[in-house]
Amino acid sequence: MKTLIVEDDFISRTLIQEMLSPYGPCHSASNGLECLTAFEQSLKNKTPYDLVCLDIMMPEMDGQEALRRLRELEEKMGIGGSDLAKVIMISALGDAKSIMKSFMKGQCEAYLTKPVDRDKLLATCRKLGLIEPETI
Amino acid sequence: MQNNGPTNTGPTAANPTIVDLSQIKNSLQGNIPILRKLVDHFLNTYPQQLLDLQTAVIDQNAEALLEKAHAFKGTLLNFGAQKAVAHAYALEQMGAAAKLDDAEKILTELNTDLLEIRAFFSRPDWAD
Repeated sequence: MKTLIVEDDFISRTLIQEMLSPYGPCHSASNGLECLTAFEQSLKNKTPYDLVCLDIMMPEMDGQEALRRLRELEEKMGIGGSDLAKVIMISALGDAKSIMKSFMKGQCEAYLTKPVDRDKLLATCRKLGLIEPETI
Repeated sequence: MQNNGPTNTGPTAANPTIVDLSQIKNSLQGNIPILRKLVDHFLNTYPQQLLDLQTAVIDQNAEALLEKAHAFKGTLLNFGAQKAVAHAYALEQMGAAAKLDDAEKILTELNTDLLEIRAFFSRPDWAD
């Protein structure tokens, strides 16, 4: 699973990276603009991201706008169906309206609230078919 | 066995937690060296974040207060710093409503929370 973590807070970003790095390479971006640059590059290189963890409220370009443009990029490059990147929106208290907007437009697959809980994040990845189900 | 009522002396709304590291420790699977690195980063960077909030309040810049308080709240949530989170959230709400009348008072309370957090992390056994 190749992941792009888009989060302006170093601590939150590091934590998500620590949780997901056992499952594959994790790259990071600290705002929406950096996210789009990395995402576009990955599509051009034909090494797309399987998962984008996208914080909603960030400087420069927020998660909502980044998500919209990210989906535009995929569409422009003829990517659709199961090849689309899975997007998990990450929010803190108070962002509910923004998340609902994304969900209603069907642009993101899941959302998690801060602080991101490891078990919930991994369960979401499993549910999205990004990592293998847990075996005991 | 009869339940004689709650004996839990954990955090409540009236007695919020200064710091609760249980979730971050689980997230890091007990990797204390990384936790220490993140705490050091927090202790080194929060004074600037606090200063940014103060500047926004002095300038009566509601938009900046909303943005900075929201970001700071996100940082504090990682350490289970409920008391400080509540004050950062209050500032964020004030910024969103563009009503900064009580912002200075809340900022002072947030500053006190941060001194308590710093005191917590200065204890030699905080990571145990």
